[in-house]
Amino acid sequence: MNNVTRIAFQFSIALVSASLAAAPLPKEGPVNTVNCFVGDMTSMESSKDNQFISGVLYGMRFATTEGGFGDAQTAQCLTQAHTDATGRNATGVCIYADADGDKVTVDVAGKNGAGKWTYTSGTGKYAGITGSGEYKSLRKFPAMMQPGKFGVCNSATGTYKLP
Amino acid sequence: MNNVTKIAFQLSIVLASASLAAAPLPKEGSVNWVGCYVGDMTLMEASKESQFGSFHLSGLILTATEGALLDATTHECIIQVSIDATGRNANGICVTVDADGDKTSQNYAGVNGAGKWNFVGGTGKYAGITGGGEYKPARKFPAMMQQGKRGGCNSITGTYKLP
Repeated sequence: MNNVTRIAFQFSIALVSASLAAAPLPKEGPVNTVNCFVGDMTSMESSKDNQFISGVLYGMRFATTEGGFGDAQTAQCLTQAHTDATGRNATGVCIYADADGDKVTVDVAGKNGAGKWTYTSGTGKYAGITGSGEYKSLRKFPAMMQPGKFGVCNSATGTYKLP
Repeated sequence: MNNVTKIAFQLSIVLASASLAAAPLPKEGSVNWVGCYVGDMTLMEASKESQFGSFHLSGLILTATEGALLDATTHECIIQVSIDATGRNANGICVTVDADGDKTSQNYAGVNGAGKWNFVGGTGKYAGITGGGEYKPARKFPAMMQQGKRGGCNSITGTYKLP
């Protein structure tokens, strides 16, 4: 490949990359992701049937189809749970960030590892996002080896809509 | 369902569970995991082209086929990184633990996020395990939102053999 051909080839790659990067998100569509989190938890209990935990989780989210909505994002979540005789009730909020620095905020509420999620806000390309769906734990993981650490992977499905 | 039928039914479930739990691992096979991890990074630098870091990572492993070797295990890794003009050279060791408390140890060494791994030890059902393969990033994730945190997911492939 001579220099002119090489430069033309590199330029065409740059144009293709730029057009791919600038491709707008579909205004609506499905959400089908895997989310894995690890974090530090604080717990207290008055009895085995009355336990409270809270913590900060850090994680990654990838779409089951590479490049799908929500693919390749990092996450930070604040979560709390109350375990009583009926099970473990959890609520939380997560912020997901993509490679452009654009973010979405998600409310989560569930019981015994499964529940519902809702988009509550977004920035950048996600501004005005709405949508919701369900999540459930993937696999039953043993305790993390490091005391105080907690880890979990969820599958999340649902839909999103942009203005 | 009367009491006798109920007890027989419960016993059949217990026996079926025990036989499933006792099912031995295949003596050899393929490895196809996604391992996601989060941890804290310590970095020092002499210059932009001479940086050194260490990570203590905690994570979770999902296999492509549910129930395959090391599916639903948690892991801890200690990784050292050296960044110079040639790229980011990393090496380290990870320990996985399953729901029975059985562990494996693996060595990792790579450049710019991809490289090779091999089993270096195992306990319980994994005693004497050998094998290895390659790893690479499953996605290109942005930096974690909290400074000093490091997270990602690798796709890990290869083979294993048990004595």
